[in-house]
Amino acid sequence: MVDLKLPKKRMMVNLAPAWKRAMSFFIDLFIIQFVIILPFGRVMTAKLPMSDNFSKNYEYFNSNSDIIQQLTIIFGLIFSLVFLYFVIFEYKFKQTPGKMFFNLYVEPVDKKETLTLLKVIIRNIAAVPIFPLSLLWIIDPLYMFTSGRRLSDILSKTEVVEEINLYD
Amino acid sequence: MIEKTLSLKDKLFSSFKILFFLWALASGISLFFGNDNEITGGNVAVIPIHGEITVLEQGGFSAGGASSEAIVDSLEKANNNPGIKAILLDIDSPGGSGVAADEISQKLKSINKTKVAVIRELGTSAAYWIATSTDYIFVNRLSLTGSIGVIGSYLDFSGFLNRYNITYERYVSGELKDMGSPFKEPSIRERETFQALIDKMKVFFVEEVALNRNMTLEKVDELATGEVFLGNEAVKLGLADAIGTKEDAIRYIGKKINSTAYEVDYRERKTFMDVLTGLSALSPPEIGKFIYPINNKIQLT
Repeated sequence: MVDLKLPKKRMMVNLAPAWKRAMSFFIDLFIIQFVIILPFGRVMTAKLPMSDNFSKNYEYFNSNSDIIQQLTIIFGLIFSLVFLYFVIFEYKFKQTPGKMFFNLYVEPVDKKETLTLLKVIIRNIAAVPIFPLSLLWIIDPLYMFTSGRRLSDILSKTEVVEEINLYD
Repeated sequence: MIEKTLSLKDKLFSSFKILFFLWALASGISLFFGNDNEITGGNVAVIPIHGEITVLEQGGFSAGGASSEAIVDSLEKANNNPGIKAILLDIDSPGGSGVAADEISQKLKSINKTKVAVIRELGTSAAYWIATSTDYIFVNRLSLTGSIGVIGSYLDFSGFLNRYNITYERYVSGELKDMGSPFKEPSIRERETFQALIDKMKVFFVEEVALNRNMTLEKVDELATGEVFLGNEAVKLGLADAIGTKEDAIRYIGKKINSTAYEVDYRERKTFMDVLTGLSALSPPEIGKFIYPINNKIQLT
């Protein structure tokens, strides 16, 4: 066989930069908008008052507690489905559609370990709409700015890495 | 290096399968929260009755008016929705078909919720009939209302045809079969029959108004000259209950239902296909109309 002396393909795995993670998250949100939120759109439109006036809407919610209950359940279900979206994709492919776009992967910090379902659940626990888990919506981005990793990443002992192809 | 077990093609295919599963799950769950019939963005269903009232939906792009078909449907939806505590009819109509008015009126009477009508500029004839089927009528002091009566007319082209030597060949199985044909001069019997029809319709109208407004037949009959009344006159005559706006009506409903009243639009929404299919729809000829001749309406400019 003739040796063509083609450049050998090499891979480099780095910690994913914050901007790529943010962009991949926005892509995921865009997909979630169509797949999960849109089916609830008709119900939400029907449940929410039509007035543009904030005080009128506030009064409406105050005097219609059953609507508040229904909306709470709807929001709870939407967030649960969003949680399911991240868990299924990250557990099955180690990446969500947004991460696929930027070639980002979720990996355990300890490379000897595997990405277990528990780890995936912990790193996406912020999507579960239960207090105090929802506090992670504020804490996670703050951690991201200071340490380059989300608190959920640290708790689940995972990290998001990017795979870069290098050629000789 | 990251361990990869799936090819890109497999990954994409699996991703679509997961997305479809999530979409189906979301769609399925959303169905448990009611359908379009259960609009709950308010507790007062506002049903507009604007323009001429007809039985069937008027088609076309420029079609206006209110059909009993659509209004009865909206009333049914409002009645079936437990979140709706009251119905507000927003009336601005000169009237129209007696059958349509009766259909809407009967439907309103079958609903055991607070029903209020607010007459804006016009609420005459058939529109007034409908308003009387509610518990309370608000009018503007300048609204035109009343016009309790029936109108029926057609153009007689027989003189025109004679002038151009065109004859109307008449073959009928009975003397009155072509009654109302615009191509011949009506006979005395036809005129009498036509007038009798109009009078009978008027009796129904008077009886309904008397029953709905809790007035005597004599009193309503006295007012049933076809005369239109200004809102403030109508209140004095007992044809309406109070001078007020739509906001007053909402406040009144709030007191009645013992809760803050929030309006929700129960207008029948037309799809593009409805408009297209409506283009070919034709309205049947009407014998008696419960309408105030809108072309003669007094306008304050």
